[in-house]
Amino acid sequence: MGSTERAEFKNPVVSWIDERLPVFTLMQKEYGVFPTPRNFNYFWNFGAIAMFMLITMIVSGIVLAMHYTANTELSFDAVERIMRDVNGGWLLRYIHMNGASFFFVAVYIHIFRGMYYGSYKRPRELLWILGVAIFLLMMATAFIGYVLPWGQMSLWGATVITNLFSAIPLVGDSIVTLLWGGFSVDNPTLTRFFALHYLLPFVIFAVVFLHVWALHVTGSNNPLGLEPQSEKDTLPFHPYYTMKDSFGLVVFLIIYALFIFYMPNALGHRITTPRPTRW
Amino acid sequence: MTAHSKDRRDFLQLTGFAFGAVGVACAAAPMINSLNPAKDTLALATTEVDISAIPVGGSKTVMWRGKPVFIKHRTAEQIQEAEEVDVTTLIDKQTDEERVKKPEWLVVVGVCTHLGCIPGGQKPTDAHGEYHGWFCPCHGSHYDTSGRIRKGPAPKNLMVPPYEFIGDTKIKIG
Repeated sequence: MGSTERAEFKNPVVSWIDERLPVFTLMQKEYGVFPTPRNFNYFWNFGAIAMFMLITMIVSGIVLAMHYTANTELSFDAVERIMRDVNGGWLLRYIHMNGASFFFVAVYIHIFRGMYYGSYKRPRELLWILGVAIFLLMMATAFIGYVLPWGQMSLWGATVITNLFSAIPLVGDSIVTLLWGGFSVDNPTLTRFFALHYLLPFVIFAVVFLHVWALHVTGSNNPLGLEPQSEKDTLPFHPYYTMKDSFGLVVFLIIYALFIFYMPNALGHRITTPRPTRW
Repeated sequence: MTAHSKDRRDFLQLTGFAFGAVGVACAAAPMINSLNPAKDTLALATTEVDISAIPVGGSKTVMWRGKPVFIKHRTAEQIQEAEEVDVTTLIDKQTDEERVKKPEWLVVVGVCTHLGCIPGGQKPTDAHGEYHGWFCPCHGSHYDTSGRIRKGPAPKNLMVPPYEFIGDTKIKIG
């Protein structure tokens, strides 16, 4: 890496930093001039949208964590306090909970693009495998996050899913006891879930970094499935795809905002009639 | 590229960046504002105190915003002593009139302006210092009957919180 040529920068501060740590040369190469197939359709937008949603979830999650307490006696009330007392707390919570759903929507479309257009094929097999790893981490993170408000669905969802591990022969029950930290989903489970929920998004971030790196080694697939043969088949990522992605992102955000502001609980699970709990 | 299209691009880039910056600010503002005191914290920000039970010469301490507030029902001698002081000799120059709404009631935050200890003087058995008000045991600041610093390391008089009288028997602090 030390022997690659650096790009020229007019700004002396930028040049000073780049000489010592070529981050600007890197950005220029990977997101500035990077040759991208010119025939992308909007299905190729969703990777960038997913990245934006990951950042949104991390930022909203960290701010929410400043007001949350992980304890069975306090968690539900902490969330109510966020909704009622914290300035803009209702907005933070709705951003985070609808953000999770929209993050998955973007990732599902991104995956279906990969399946339909064969983006998993040679030489992009590892790219696909890393994507699967990200998907699994996302599922774990989302499941754990849902437990944190300590509602009915939180407790029973956690109980059902953790109980799945008891199906493992011989050691299943011991594993479940280990996961629970007790003999049912209770406070030890909640506190360790909070720690893991804070950790996993950063693990996701690291795997996403590898995922994008793997992509930049092979270059992107495209709707025709034919690898670019010459420069004529590609466009520099900036400004063509920075602009196209920004447009697509804005449309996505409009739909996201519609949910946050007009139907924030539409995707949730509401128990409207008294129903016996799962005793 | 012609001069026109370069100007156009410059304009588009500039407006693009400007809108982007505004968008980021709009997104960041509620996130940062959520760190400001929440409504339940603010609700604790005003306290109503019933002062009818405090006899002349007596004092009461209440908590306000996490700090003690001294409410003193001053005697005529204490009022006179406070009013007669020559302002120019004070470390933090304030007249007694500036610090009270009704002269018989002194309301001050009981936190020493030096390094934050709670001065003694609320109880008759406490040390009152050489100026008959309060005495801070930490570093020896003496406060007078108007809560003004007279001797010792404290730089400022005891803070007068915002308060108002509700009738004759109650005050609302904050």
